[in-house]
Amino acid sequence: MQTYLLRRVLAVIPVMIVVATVTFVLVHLAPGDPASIIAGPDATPENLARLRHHLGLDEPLPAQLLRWYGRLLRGDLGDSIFLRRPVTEAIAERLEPTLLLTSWATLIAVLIGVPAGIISARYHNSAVDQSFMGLALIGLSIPNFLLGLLMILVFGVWLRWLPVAGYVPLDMGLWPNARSLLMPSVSLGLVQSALIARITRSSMLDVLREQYILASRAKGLAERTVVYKHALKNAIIPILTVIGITFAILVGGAVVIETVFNIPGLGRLIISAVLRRDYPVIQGVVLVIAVTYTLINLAVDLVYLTLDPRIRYQ
Amino acid sequence: MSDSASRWRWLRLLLRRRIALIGAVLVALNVLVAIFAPAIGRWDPQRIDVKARLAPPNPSHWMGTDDVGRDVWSRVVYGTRLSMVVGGTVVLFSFVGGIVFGLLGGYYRPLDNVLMRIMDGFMAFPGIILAIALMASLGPSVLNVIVALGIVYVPRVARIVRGSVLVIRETPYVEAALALGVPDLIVLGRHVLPNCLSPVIVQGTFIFAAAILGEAALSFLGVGVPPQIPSWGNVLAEGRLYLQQAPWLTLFPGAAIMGCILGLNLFGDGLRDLLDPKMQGVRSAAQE
Repeated sequence: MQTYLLRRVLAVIPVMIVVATVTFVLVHLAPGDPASIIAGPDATPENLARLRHHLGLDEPLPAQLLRWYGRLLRGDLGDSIFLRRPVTEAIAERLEPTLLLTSWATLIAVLIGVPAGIISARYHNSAVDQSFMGLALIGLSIPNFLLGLLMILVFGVWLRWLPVAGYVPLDMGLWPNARSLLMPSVSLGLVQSALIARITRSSMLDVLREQYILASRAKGLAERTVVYKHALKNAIIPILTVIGITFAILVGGAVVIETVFNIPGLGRLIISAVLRRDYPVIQGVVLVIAVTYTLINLAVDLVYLTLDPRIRYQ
Repeated sequence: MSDSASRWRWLRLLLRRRIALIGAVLVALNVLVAIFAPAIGRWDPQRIDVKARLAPPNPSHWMGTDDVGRDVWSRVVYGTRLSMVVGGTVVLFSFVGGIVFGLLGGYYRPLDNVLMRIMDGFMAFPGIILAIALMASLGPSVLNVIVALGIVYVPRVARIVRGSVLVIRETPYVEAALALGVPDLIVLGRHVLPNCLSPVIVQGTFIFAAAILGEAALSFLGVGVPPQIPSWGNVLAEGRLYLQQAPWLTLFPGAAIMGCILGLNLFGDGLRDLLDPKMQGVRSAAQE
């Protein structure tokens, strides 16, 4: 088990190296270099050369790459060209809305998806199962930003129940904050619950076909005990995997949803950085999200270890 | 293979399922609209008519007009064409890249480790985030949207192909071919590749759908296709600004996206049940 643990943790290193390299290459793929963006169109060639030297852009690429790794190890993501401040500061400031939005959405997705999947599997091929799966299919076919727009139209514009857009920070109180995130989280989470419901259902169906389920039914256990105690326990691994993947999808979704609802989070930050060609910010946001996702997947894998002894002894 | 009846047997089997048939009809409808866009569109999607701006649906503009008076019906129809082109080429791009890397990785063990670590690294980025970052470097254009989304899906296809190759290379028929002295390239192309295609084809329909959603999201965010080009995402982006005055700018392209994606999902589910029954309910590659 220890070697498995060690192997799994060490496997993160090459992924991180690739992630760091890709974010480096991204910027060097772009036409023009950061110096010309910082200096603006009217800069003299001498000024440009001095700035390039100052930023280390005149060094050979491999040297620049090594310096980039070194900076990342120190937690230095550089300075934003447009905001003229460290990227880490800009990211820290925008973290709250995105984190809250993603967490609420995950909660909604799991709370709807998992029970719906279990009920569908328990009443396999019944009317309930078929209507749940029909709904799930529709859920998978509607992009989250479209659902967001439709919700604004119905609840914001027509019924006027909720504010059409905007974000109330957590300092202003938990309830106003949650209220401002209600529609965004539902439009993100609802779509995701469709995927979770489908996977939960198929995972449960697989387990319900096993011999030991037949045995526990044969010895007269209540159907409820069979489904929730014996089957669910074994069906949980694929469900957990999807919940891990869910995070990646939801962070990606949050980037789009933030634009729909005008929420000042990481998504707005990266989109405005793209429009201003503020490459250090783009690099920083992309890197932070990829690293977080990798660590979450690691955590999910480590949770398996405690949940499933079969993996432990492999 | 030579007998055409057996070649199309899978299609007959597929269309016998009601769900898959509905999906196929929806997809076919989208393809037809894409092909005959100039005939169906009725208006030039770029034609600006400021006097008729934000007109609600009426007999001459079936889906109303947008903020500069362009015909929404025509923009949705041409958007269908763009979506089909983007979806199709992204699938092609990711298949070519994914199959090459997947075959190499699965077949040549020393390469496998390096290739798969690189693929893992790419998959550590949520798809849309990687696409946004790539678009930032490449600049907004239809071709760049295709390249960015293609790069996102290459590792996902490569993983599936590699998984199948690992199993297939241990089979007796591959061993026999190698023992007979058949060159690696021919073994890979003639014996390994055809046998690992079914899961890839199933993923293809989901990647098609995901690419369409990806293009729509990128364009909606203003980092995809340039705004004057008619695309579902571009119309939705304008619609967001006029949600109150002109909900038709959101409702019609929204319905078009949903119909198209629903069709692809239904078709893909049917295809998967037929070709790859073990994978029921699983579609991680395209969803990530």
